[in-house]
Amino acid sequence: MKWRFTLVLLVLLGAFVFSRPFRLLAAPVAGKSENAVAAAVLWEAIDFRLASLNFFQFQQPAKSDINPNNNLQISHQEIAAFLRPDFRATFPKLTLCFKPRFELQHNHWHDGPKKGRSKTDADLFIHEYVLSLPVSESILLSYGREDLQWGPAFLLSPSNPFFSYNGRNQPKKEVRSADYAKLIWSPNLEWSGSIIINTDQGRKKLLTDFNQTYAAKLDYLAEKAYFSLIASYQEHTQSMRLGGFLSWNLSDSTIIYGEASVSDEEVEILTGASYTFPGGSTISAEYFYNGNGHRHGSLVPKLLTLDEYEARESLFRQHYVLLQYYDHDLLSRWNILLRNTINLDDRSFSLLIHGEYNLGDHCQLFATGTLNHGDRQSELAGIIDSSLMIGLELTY
Amino acid sequence: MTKINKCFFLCQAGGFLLLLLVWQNSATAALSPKAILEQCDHARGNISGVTWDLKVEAGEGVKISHRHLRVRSRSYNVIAETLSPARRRGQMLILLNGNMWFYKPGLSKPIPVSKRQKLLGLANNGDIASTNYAQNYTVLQQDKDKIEDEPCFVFTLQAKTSKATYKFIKYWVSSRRLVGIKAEFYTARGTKLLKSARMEYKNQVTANGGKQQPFISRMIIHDELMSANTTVLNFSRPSLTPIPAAAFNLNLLQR
Repeated sequence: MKWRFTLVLLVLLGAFVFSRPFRLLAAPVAGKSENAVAAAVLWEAIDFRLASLNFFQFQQPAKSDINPNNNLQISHQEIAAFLRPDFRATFPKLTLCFKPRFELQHNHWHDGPKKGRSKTDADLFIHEYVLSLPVSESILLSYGREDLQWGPAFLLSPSNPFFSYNGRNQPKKEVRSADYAKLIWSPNLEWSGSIIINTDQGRKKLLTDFNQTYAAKLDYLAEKAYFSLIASYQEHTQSMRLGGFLSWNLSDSTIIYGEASVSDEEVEILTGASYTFPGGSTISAEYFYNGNGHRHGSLVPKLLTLDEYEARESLFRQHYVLLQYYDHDLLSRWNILLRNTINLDDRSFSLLIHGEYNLGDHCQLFATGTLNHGDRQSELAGIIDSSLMIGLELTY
Repeated sequence: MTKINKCFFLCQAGGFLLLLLVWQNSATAALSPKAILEQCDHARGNISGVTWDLKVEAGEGVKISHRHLRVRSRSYNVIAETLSPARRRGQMLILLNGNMWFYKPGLSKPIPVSKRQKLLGLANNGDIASTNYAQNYTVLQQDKDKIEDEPCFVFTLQAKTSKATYKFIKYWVSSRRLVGIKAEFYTARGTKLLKSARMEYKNQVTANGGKQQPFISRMIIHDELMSANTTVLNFSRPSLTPIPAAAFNLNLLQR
């Protein structure tokens, strides 16, 4: 059903773009035919980028309460090739972003329900598509499928009432997108207001049923600081949530930031700071308090009784610390990211080391290593013990 | 033409040129330092909006790195999008009200970065943006000098606002063309020279009212502190077009 809807939407868009009304979007140019003007406008308006991601991944599934006997069917080996074209068309009266994806994956299992089996899957889907129409110079309407994220935090985004997971623990994998309708008002550079409706779960995998959420977001850009307030309402649970974030440039090298949200059920608070060294490398530290989180014991009962309100969450214990170091263009060719996420309640941690080496203008070698440590009941070592991804990304 | 007539004609032409020169010098001399800096700013950006292509060539030792950017700037607010090399295509540096963000394809959102992050080589975020020296700097001192026989005003500038990239600047302005042709950038205390820059103005833009004006075409930055490294910024396709506030809205960033 959703596929049909998407297909119909794309066909309508295509018809619109290549029909006569599209040509009216362009200003007439004296001395040029209508077709020549349309072709020139189209050429200028369309931006295209193609990335080809190819990698091997070795994983050791955790033997834990969350994943006993590898019931989550985490594969031990994965060979994958992803094709990621990004299209963007920008006209004065219309902007269209379109990101189809092709993924070819071969997985092999050493234990669990699929012990000794291998499987090859091919998938063609639309990762993101967003159509934006300016109603006036300061008001814009948009609809589409996107990974809607905001805020300064690295660990997760507590101020986001839709989905707090930001995918930072998997630098080369894209976060699944959901469907949103938005109305954005930008009266000036300082103030901005948005009404956002999460209309469908899109490609998100949820632990509970989808629940439509409405949000009103107010942003203020001060000198050297950025604030946002978000009020949201969930249709099915009829619950309200008030969230916000702040990012403040203390100096040319130091940023402090925070994100939080409160509801009838819980409080979530994240505070953090980043410092940039003269050479350009940056260290960050964050602390996250999840008021509704379980401090002790197994998380399985909690995960089995999640309500629709908690479906947005990505961490389920109470106290976390993140420490991070990253450097883009280290020694001109290297990008390095080191991150340790520590769960203070069950003493588990997840150590991530990600390196990228640029080989010329189009080619990048990368490797991501993850080491998770904790006991059987721990959260961060609950699904995977360790993993290593080695790959090559080609960009055109 | 007789010899007397020739002499008469040459004297007249010489006198006219001398008058023109005196008139021009007296006209620029009549301008306040702030008005001169405003003229210079017009050749390096625009308060209501300017878009240009920027090719950066950064030399670090024997290695030379290249980057091609599309820059949209309104006063101090900048969105610089990388067009090449291909592996950096789509990366964005966003500078708004003294806040800075970095975005690259694959990231879910722009991440806040500190102003200490460099663009490439010696180029700072302030070097790729419009300048607004007239508004944001106080003239501490004014002198006269010559650069390659071109008479210049030399202004010592101190930042009024923390948004300014450099705290102290020594700025050479051609008294004939009213464009900044050399700058020295100093540390926050104004004691140590960090880097110097030379500017060229081979571009032309049509300003409000249809008047043609010179526009920056090249900036060569030399490291004066640590090394002999040089970064060259080549500006092309400048277009003075008002940019609406919505273009700088992070919620509308076209990813």
